[in-house]
Amino acid sequence: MLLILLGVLVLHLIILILLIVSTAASAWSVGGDRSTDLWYSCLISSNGGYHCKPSSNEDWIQAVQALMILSVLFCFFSLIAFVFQLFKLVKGGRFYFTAIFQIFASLFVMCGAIIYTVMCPDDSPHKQFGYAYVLAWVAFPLSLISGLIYIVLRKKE
Amino acid sequence: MLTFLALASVVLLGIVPEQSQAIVIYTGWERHALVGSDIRLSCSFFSWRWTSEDVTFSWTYRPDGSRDSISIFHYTGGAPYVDNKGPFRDRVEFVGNPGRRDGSILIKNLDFNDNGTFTCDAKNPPDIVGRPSSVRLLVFEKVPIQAGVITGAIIGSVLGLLVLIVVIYYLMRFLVARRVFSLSVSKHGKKKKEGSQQRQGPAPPADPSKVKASVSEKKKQDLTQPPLFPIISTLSRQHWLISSEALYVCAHRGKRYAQEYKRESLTYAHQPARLDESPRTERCCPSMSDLMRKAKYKKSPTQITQVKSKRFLEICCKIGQKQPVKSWKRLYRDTVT
Repeated sequence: MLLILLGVLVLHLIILILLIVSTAASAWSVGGDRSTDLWYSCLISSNGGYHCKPSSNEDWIQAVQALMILSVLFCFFSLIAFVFQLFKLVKGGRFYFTAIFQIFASLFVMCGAIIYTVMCPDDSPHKQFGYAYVLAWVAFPLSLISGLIYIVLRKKE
Repeated sequence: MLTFLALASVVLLGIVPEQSQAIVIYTGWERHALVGSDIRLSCSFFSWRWTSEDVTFSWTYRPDGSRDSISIFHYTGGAPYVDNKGPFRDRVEFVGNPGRRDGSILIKNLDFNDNGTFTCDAKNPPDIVGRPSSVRLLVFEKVPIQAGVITGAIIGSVLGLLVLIVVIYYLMRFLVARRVFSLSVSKHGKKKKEGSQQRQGPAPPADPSKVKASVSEKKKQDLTQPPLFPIISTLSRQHWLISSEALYVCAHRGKRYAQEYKRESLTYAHQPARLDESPRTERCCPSMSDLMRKAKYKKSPTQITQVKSKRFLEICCKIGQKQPVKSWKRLYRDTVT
């Protein structure tokens, strides 16, 4: 029983770390000489220096920013709710609050990643998606599974 | 008295301007506009003196990247003079009201070359010492959304919705508990009213004086109407003596549930798997989920309808466990009758 608890907690922490790294790191799409990302758009000039300017003020990138931040917040809230419910729940009860927050976090990550995929501008031919984008897509099914586990999990009688 | 006040005001009006003679000019900080549109640059000032006839406004323009500024508008002697030679020829119009200390101008048909800083300088003789104020004009092809506005809006609305849902949830729980409470108090109140009319004078209560002081005002309260916030007073452990009627009902229910639990456990004694705890007569607070499950097995309507607010009754039980029921009965009788 303790093993299951530990496993679930570790999974939750991994998801939280993935989400934070994906939100904060500026590596959503890398091109040949420039990387346009969630927060900054950096151009690597010929003599090796970086020339960064804040990402374009378009609607969709702000929506992606908001959704990623919200998913991190909801994952964090679900962690707090899990710890809280671990001690306060009646015996035999289910972790509903935790599950709801976790599922919302997964939904927000999904929406953010989809919006980015659809609206990403294809200026340069050798533009491919960076690791932060991949992490976001990995975090989505993990958090969904975690949320479903919390629905099924019951406090020990 | 009135003459004294008038004298004081005149003296003050005479004194104050000599201390702060500066004129303060207000314009905007930055203005955004689309190409081809018109923009109104507002300029107003504050001065301790009355607005004189010789008030003057002057606007100067300095293009971005340049260090020279040229004058594009001047108002003096009651008449505006607009630019008729420079870059703003026939595009500037005076829309201000000098009587109301407003020296705003309207620039029509903007172009990208109009990016720059506009400085407004106003003078109100004899108040001439002041600092001119500048407003920066930015001309866009398409007005951009400020950075972070949409982000902030989405995050704020979702979190606000979350807070609203939590508040509504707790409000509904509070209302349900209050309704359960009002039903129970009205039932007990009617019974007590019939019984107390045949009783003698009340015996002196052996409880702390704090209780008596706080509930004496509730003596005159109608029994059918419960105390306004019984739940709140019982939820806080330190103030659990405030509402005696609430606590009587709590303790009474607690005792009743202890008896029920005892009876149920003896009934189900041949099915030890269903019992989570061994039955004990002094136990007042069974787990509410146990009670609900047992009620479902027995299919008794009274038990299911009574266990309406789980949390409320759990608290009731805990409070009832603190004091023996006998003294609570006496307290209720003494303070209410």
